Amino acid sequence: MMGDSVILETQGITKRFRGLVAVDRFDIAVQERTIHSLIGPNGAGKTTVFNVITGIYRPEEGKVLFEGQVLNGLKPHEILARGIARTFQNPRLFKNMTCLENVMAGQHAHGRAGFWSSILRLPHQRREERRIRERAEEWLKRLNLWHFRHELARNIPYGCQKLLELARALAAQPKVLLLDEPTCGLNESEKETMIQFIEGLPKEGLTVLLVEHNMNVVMGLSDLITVMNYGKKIAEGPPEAIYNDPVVIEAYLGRGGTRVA
Amino acid sequence: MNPLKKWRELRTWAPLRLAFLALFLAFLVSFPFWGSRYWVDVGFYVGLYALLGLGLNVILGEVGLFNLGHAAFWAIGAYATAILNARFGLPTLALLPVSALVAAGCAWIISSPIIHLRGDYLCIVTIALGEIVRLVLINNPGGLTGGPNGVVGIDRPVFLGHVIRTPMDFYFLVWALVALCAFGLRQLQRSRIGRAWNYIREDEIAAEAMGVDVRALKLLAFVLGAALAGIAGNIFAAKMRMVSPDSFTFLESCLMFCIVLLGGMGSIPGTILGAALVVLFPEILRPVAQYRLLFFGLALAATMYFRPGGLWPRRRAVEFLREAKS
Repeated sequence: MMGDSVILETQGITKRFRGLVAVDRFDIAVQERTIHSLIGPNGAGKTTVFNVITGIYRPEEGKVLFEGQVLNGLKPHEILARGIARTFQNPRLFKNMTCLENVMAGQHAHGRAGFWSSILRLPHQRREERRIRERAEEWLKRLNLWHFRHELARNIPYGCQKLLELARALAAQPKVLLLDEPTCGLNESEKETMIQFIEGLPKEGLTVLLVEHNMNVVMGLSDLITVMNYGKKIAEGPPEAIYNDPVVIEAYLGRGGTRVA
Repeated sequence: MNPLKKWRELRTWAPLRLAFLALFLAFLVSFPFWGSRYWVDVGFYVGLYALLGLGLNVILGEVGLFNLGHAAFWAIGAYATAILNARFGLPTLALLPVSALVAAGCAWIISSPIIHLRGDYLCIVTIALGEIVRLVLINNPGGLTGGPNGVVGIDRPVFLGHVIRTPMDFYFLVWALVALCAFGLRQLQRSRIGRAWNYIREDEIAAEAMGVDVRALKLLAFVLGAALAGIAGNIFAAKMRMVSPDSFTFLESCLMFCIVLLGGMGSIPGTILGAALVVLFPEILRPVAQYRLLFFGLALAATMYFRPGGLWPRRRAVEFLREAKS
């Protein structure tokens, strides 16, 4: 089950917003081909960690390493090209474009066609367009969104929007996938579909870093769990250990809290 | 089948589209032969503003960058032609690509430091840039721009030995360029570059996270939009045979903005329709003389209220159905 090599790592990253320390000397090491969850109470800094890894924020201190290389200072689009794709907590889709076009965005970084070859529709540009489209169509089919392909993204149900965002990220053919609360706002059956899908990803060679609030989801899916609070790592371990860790229970329920059932 | 679906289907029906396009082209080409000289001249201005609108449409419509200083690039193109022709004697028509390049180069230099600004901030800076360019032209740097009087005595363009002088000549020149640009822009819309522009307009953060080099593509849009304005500037200078700073006011930038909003952001046929309306409206409203602008304003407000997406928005779903069929 466990991979044996670290693919994504942060070393002592710190991110401050004015006086507030959102992430405080935070370390995490994600093993290849595993599902690693990052949990913690609201405002613990989980999404900030995602934003630092993907280059949306620059950390004041610390390093982000991907396959042994430092990512600090790279722009978000360069980080995606290295092989890290993400989804957002509230889907950030391209609302006035079709679902197909949305998923095609994932393939953008794998395209080469420039200004003139696009205007002149040169043969290699046409081939590339076809390939971009075919790949996108594959992902739409796999996530059961095929019938929505020509619908505008803003017109499809919320649950499908979450799936569409996942399809878009997967179309980028990443090595590591960062999922920010993928089951948030989904109904039970949608949740089930999403969980099953995520579960299968390591078998296809992907590594998943998951931020999730739903404890059942986290406990069922994760190989390893990292818990953070106030921007710091407070615990790390396999699901069973985290489940019974008094420090974690305190962070969620307060001092003296006991778990019922 | 419900009526909406039926209508969608109908629009993907190639013969109907081709017939419509052929009718439109037939009208465009035949118009100078039966229209009066005056109306052919109006037709020329529709083409000129269509060119300007198409340029701004790349920046404002495709990428969503609020540029309220587009007249500056038009002015730069026009003055490039005027100065190089009147002062250095280069042939006017050969200066067409030169004007495009000069305007594009200026756009690159001007927009590089401000391209990261968002929304209203960019809008304010572009308004200022438009004014700066106009004021620089008035101040006659190095005796090149001729100050408030501008540059006079621009040669008529010569195309393969034929001197372009009548309204009909200019009409065909400008509409040939509109057709060429519209075709090129259509190709871009259907490419990864066009899609990436739209991704930025829809959600800049998500676009970046999906691997779009936002800065490079925004710059490309600015440079391309300015190049088209530069081409319009060349034709304008050739037509008027003189240029002066009065032609490139803030109001012109606003009109171009209206053209894009009126037609529909990111829609090529919409932009051409918008140009036609903006140029034709004052002509049609001549009977009400001094209330023209009032009516024009009311019509604009009404359009935005009833059709916020513009009069002829781009229909992406239909486009894909059409492609799937062909």
